[in-house]
Amino acid sequence: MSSYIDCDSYFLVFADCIPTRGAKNSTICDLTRTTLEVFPSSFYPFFEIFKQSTVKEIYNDLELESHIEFTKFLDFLLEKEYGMFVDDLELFPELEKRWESPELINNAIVDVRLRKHDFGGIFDQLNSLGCIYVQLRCFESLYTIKELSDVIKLAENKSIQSIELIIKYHASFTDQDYVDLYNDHVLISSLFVHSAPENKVLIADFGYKGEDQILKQEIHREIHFYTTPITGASHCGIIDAKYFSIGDVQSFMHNISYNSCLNKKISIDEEGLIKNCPSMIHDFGSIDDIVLRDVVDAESFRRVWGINKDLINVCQSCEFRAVCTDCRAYIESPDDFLSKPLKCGYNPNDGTWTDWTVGRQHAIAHYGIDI
Amino acid sequence: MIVINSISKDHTTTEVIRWLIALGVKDFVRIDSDVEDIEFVGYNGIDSFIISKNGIPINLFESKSYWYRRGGVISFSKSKLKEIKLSQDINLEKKLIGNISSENQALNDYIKQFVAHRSPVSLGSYHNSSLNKLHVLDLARQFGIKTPGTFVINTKKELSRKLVENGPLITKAISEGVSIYNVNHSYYSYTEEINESDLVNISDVFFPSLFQKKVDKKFEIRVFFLSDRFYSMVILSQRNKQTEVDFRKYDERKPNRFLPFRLPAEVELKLAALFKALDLNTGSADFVVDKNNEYFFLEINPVGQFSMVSYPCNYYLEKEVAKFLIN
Repeated sequence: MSSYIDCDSYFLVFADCIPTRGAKNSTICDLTRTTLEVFPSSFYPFFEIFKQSTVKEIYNDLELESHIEFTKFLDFLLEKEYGMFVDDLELFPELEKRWESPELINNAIVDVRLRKHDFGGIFDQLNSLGCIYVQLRCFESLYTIKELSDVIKLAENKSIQSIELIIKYHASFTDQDYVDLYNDHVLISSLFVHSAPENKVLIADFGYKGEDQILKQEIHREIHFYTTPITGASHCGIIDAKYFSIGDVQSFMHNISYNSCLNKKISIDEEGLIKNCPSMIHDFGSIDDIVLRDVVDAESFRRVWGINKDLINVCQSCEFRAVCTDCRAYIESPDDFLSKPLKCGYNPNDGTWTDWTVGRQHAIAHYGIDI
Repeated sequence: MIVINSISKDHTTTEVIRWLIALGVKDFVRIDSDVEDIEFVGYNGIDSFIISKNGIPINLFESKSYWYRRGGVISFSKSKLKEIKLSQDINLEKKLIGNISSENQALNDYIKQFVAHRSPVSLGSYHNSSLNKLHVLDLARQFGIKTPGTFVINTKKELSRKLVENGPLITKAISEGVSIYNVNHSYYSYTEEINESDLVNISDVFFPSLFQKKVDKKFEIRVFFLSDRFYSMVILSQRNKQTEVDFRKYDERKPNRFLPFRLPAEVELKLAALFKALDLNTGSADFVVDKNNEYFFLEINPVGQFSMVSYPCNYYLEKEVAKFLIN
């Protein structure tokens, strides 16, 4: 086996490859290639040692029987291209662990079931808060396509840059109606249709008929139809490896510094109640009675924004905490604000996933969740 | 009042303005040279220099802070000029339009000069927004900054000789590269490597073109300079054949790494002197570092996209620019 024992260089772990220590296992998240690898936590201390000692010095300080394991670990890091040998570590500073954004409110969820909200007023208020993204979820077919189009028009020429639209399928609308809705509004960033008779995808091309593949890729948008119904807000909050968010530097820094799901979010549920998230029980009053600005100004509203995973029991020793969104709406012990998410079946102490519903009847009943 | 010159699609300007608002600035005006919402109103030489945006008057004497981000000439009275026939003679008409265009250009130049001088805080420079690459390379060498061997060649014979003397060369535009498209295709010129094997495809005589000795690259450096600070980024692209000569040829499968970098103090000092000599207090500089850790300066772009440094390195440069404009 080859060894790096004579290497006088330092091993630089690239700044965009960030390790997170967990109880049993640790992870390294590659923010450029958006990958996540798991390794035993016993190797984690090397990430600190790499900053102090050359590779040769590290070998010299290790017991002889550990040499092979360390060589294997270096092989792993090199094969995954997480780092390289350098003579001068000083040239390669780490990424600053910091996240900021200028807007007071970044995103909003507005739910619709049977009540028609005053969207003009809501969008005006979101505009004054600097809100950029809006998700509009319609559990029922309360609006026609024409009415939806009118609602979206109300968001034009405001701080809002995109709207994610989730609507219920209705047989009276044709495929062309959905495509037209998309094509008519650059504000719509994605369109999902639930409760559809079949799973399918329609393409909106905004009238572009040219052949340039790059432009086509840029312009073409997919409209997704799903047979699965979206009946309410209680479906949310599932913690699973497939929902881990491994994105760019900013989203990673956001996720380790804040509760990235709730930070700078405001929601209006189907009854018009203002909440951190529509899935939450607690509300801050009705949109009919109170302005969003007053809610956002309240310390009690912003409290959940700063709850990062380092503060949450169990999560604080989980190797996935840097890429996990967390959920504060459904928690394991409803009375303990810092308990782990209810819908998470992972145990960082033994590194296993199990069915999260097992042994949690009390919390499931508390929230009235249908399994 | 903060005055910003830009173009309508510039995302960086929008981000800086979002930070200005977050930092409590209410009085600012964004002038996009590609949008016809700015008109000239009047200049009295004493205390009133008024342009209007969407009909709202702005007195440039009140500018406390100015940012020339990018953008060209604003066409004043464009719609009115379209209605008027200047001469029945087509040739005279053309010349008169040329005269008016020169007048418009000079007035534009003066407005930018006026605001830049009038404002206690001024960032960027319109009259230096388009540098001559060859001249900047000369200046850099004067400040002791290494540059790759640089030639302008127009015959195959000479090119062939330079290839023998230097090994592989690279070629790029002397001015701005090509960026054009029609409905079906888009064209973009990259920095390309030239080898002896390329000679068969090159005619005996061609338009005078810029060639440089190809540096045996370890990595590339992109530096954003703001006032007196450098924010550097290293681009690790060597592992990819596709991105070896020009990192902009993006490889989806193995994307380059864009990482924070600390430029050696000696290089920073020389580069600061170069920026000063060019009368620029902001801009982006490109370097390549070779296998012997030598830093080769390539060029300075006074209106470069610093967001491409800001985001991967988590530098929040948009906020830094906003803070600079407020001070």
